[in-house]
Amino acid sequence: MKILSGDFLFMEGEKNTAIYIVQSGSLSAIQKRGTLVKIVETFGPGSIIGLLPSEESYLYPYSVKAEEDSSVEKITDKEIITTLSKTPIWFSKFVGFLQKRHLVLLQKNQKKQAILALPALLSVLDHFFRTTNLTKISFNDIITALEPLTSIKAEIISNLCKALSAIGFFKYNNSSIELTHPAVPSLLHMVFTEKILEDKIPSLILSATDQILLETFAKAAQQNGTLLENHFIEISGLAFSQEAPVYLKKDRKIFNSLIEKKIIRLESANSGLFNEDKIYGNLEHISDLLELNRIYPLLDHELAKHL
Amino acid sequence: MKQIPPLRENVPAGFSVFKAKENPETFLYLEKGELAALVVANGKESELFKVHPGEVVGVQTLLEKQPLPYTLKATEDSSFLKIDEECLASALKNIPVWLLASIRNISQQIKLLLKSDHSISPNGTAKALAAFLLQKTEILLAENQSALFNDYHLLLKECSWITRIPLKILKKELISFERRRLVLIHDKELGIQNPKLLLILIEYLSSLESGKAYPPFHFNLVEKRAVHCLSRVPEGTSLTAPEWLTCLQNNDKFATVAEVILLEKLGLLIKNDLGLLSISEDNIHKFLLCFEFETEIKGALL
Repeated sequence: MKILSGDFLFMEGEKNTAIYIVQSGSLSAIQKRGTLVKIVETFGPGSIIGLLPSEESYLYPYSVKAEEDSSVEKITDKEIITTLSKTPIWFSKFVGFLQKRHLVLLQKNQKKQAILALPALLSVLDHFFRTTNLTKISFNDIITALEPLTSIKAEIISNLCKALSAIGFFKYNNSSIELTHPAVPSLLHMVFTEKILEDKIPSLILSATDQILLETFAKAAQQNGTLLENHFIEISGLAFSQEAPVYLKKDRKIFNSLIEKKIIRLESANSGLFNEDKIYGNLEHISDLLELNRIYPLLDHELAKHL
Repeated sequence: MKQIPPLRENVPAGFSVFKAKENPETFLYLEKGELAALVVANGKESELFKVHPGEVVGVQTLLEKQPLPYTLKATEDSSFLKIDEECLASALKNIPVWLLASIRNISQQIKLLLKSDHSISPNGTAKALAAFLLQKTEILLAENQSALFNDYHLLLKECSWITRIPLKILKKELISFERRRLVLIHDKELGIQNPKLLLILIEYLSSLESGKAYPPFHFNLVEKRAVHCLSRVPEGTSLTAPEWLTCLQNNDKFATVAEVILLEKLGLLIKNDLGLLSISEDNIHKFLLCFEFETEIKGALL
């Protein structure tokens, strides 16, 4: 078949149902990454385009465009099956094995790549949030921003977004990401930076007790809090005690770790009674921290399940 | 061409066809019976999988020349074909060339996937480092801080973690950035003098990847003079195309309508609601930087 210069043989993401042998001319394989169009391979006479179609669906990883008037021979899946049926049975089984192994490795590799793309995705979300304050970002903008940072394909990033959406990290609908807790990607990026790069125990990952204290503070703040400037809320020790679970010891010492991390500030009453103390915290930050601590353990256990 | 036939073997139930860690240099096609792949862990034998008639086993071992990770035992009286390298090679010689090429193609893809090579294009490191530094700088500037990083080692470590580019390669690239005046390094500190240069570098490298020319680096002298002329025009000036042509010609008698068209096409002159053309300060500044730093951005000699 003839393909005129500039025409496409097939498009990226289409089902691989045939292979093509280039007889004359020149064609290039093109991948679209956000706004960038990349040439990833070129084909001349004698080149084979596409992989042997298998029973399970395999998608073309790129679009192929004729760079000049070209001629290709199309070999359909039916012709391939007919040719293989003329070979000894063990040979067609051998080819089938190769196809299956390729597919399994491809799927495994895509999972691995999706996990490897997480730091880059967090970094891009961190950048978007801190420079634009946007809470809804188009997927295309994310891919464009990711393109220079990682060679991982948009399709794999999309799978990662779906998996992160499944654990409630954000909302993703194939065309955009909506950050339900806009600061959390930045906080998570900070956690990973501390843990992996500085080899420190991430200060934002809280103990179970600290999380209960913050949940109690948030509940008490919604019921009896006094709103101060910049989302800071003041509550009394009494309001805290009323919302606290029975097993929680109600004294100042339990706040030590949160005070040290500057998440909570405590003003002791002159009477020395905890109930008369004043407790301060930034409710927005506390809500983000609680979300971060909900998400963090899920990344280990749940993320891989959804990929 | 004559094909070398595979060897047929009949074995009784319980027969060990291959032992673990052996390198049989052959794969099997089971015609009759049943085989089981067994491993011994903590002194206990367990079954990995079973092979049924019509299935092949050991292909990976033959192709990747690795020892068999399991023992293969017949669980019933079985009959199978043994296909060695010679037999496979003779079969490959008897198939159409396109099929042979396709099999090679899959085989190569498998090898690549096994290597799990997340390789980057030749321009990848420079582009990734520039994009990373630009993102970090934009965050600092958005938070009203200066474009100065206290510890560039830590910064490179983060870049390596995000991009998967080895730290050593990133360090080398950063030194090249310093030579090319894209960054300033003092002790542990790293400063970004002009983030726009990083953006230009990314755009230039992307153009190379797409096989397209980067317009600012293909301007001739008249076109460059036209951009310089626009940079001296007061901000907010809006003129018709013929008026712009006169303005350019006052500066350079060789300027023609082609320059006005080019400047509009590349967004240095933008049409407003009234149909007049006004200058884009941002784009003019970018083009002037491109002219000044062309050698540094291209990095050919540095």
